[in-house]
Amino acid sequence: MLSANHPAARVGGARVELELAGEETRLGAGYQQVPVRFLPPFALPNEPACLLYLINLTAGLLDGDGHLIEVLAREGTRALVTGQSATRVHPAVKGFSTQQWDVEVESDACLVVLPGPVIPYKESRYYQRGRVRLAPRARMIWGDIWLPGRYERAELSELFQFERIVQDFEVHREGRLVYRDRFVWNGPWTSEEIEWHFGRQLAAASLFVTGAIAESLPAPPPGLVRSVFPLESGDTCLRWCGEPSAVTTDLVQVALSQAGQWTGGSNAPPWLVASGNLAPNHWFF
Amino acid sequence: MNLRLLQIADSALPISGYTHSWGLEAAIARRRVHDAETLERWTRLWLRNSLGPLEGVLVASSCRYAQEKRHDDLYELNRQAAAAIVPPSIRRASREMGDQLMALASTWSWSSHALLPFQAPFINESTGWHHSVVFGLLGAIAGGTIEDVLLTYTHQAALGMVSAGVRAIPVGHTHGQQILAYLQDDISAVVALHGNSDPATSGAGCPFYEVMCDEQTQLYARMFRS
Repeated sequence: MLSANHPAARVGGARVELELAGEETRLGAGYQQVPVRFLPPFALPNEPACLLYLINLTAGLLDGDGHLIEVLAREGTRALVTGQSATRVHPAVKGFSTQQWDVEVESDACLVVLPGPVIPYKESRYYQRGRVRLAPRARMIWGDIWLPGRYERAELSELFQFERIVQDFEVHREGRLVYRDRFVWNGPWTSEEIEWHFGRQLAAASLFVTGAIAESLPAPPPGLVRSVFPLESGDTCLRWCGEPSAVTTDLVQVALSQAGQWTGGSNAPPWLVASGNLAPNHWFF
Repeated sequence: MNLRLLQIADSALPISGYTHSWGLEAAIARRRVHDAETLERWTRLWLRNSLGPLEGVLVASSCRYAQEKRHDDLYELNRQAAAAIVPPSIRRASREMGDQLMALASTWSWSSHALLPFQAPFINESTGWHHSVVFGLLGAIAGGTIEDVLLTYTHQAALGMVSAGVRAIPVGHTHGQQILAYLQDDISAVVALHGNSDPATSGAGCPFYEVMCDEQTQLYARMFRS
């Protein structure tokens, strides 16, 4: 048996294949390596998409931890894949921790991926890598939320005290690079750097959406800034800065409304949020 | 002294660089920049967090690829720029300035012939050239070292930002030159940090800065296109 100190014990992962069975999206092949687990997809009544939760059985990403998550959305499938909890990145003692995604979306599939919002603890080092391969008619939404650390602990809060965060995310369609979100944030941040990156707010977020999005999004609530950027490829990127729960709520609303329009037309409700079947968590309040 | 590098960095070059403020106008509208001191701080943060990690790495990589005659890699680098520059106003300005610089350089005796093999992969490409990529390419053709080309690029970019501030805040020209003098260590730091960076590391994650670039396009009256 491997001890927890052995490097091999620090690697977890999941491989998820989503396939169509009649009208329903179901789990095809699957593999899971602790501490990463996934629940079989929920098919909720009157919902066009299934819901698949990824679970990390530990308290978060500890120094040296590495998670690899592979998702293959077969033709015609519709799914929301989301982390069951936020991604807590613990202090790095010697190395770093990493979560890496490999996502493939086939034509006519609609996939929404919302990994857990990242909470980088003081002195943490984190590398997030994502590679997405899209078929010509694939539809996908990917959302990232970046939080400042443990921010609701009064005087014990750790705001922007991480040591390093590296984001390395690319989307390719038919082999061609269409979107790239790559950065290195070296902390701890000064007040000037917080202002530059987050606009003095506690959360920033990013959403990649294939294709154009609805022209008239509802105005964001006061105090929240949101921008919509049409990309060179014809896809769309949105950015947010604001208070964490406001950013999260708006991002989820935009993402699942867009997904709803893909599957049900312009007047369709958002996926899942109105169904009453979602347990409250960091994404769904 | 490399006269060719001086030429491509000249602010009078007709590539519309003078209409480019890199989002500064929105920062002025939000009162984040309102005098010489705040302009200096803004420009320093921009060099360190936005321009250096993204365009700076692209310039250095383009120069290296050009020196090594890696035509296809340079073409991919230009695609990378298109995918990584998110605010449409900044991306459009980058492309227009790049296309105009390429068009100018195609008429210059010192560069026109050397450009031909790099232009070939772009024959069927509709996205155009990005300024940082063309600048690095021309810098290599000019015979500059990667460090000198990146230093020249970063200096002309800082000069462009400060010049935009001089006109938009406004700040006196003397103050503008003073700011530029204060920023020299920061300009050198961009070269030291990014001159040897792998192109795969290019990118800057500045969500709020990008939001301001977007806000600039919605200002009621503005002086700059980006």
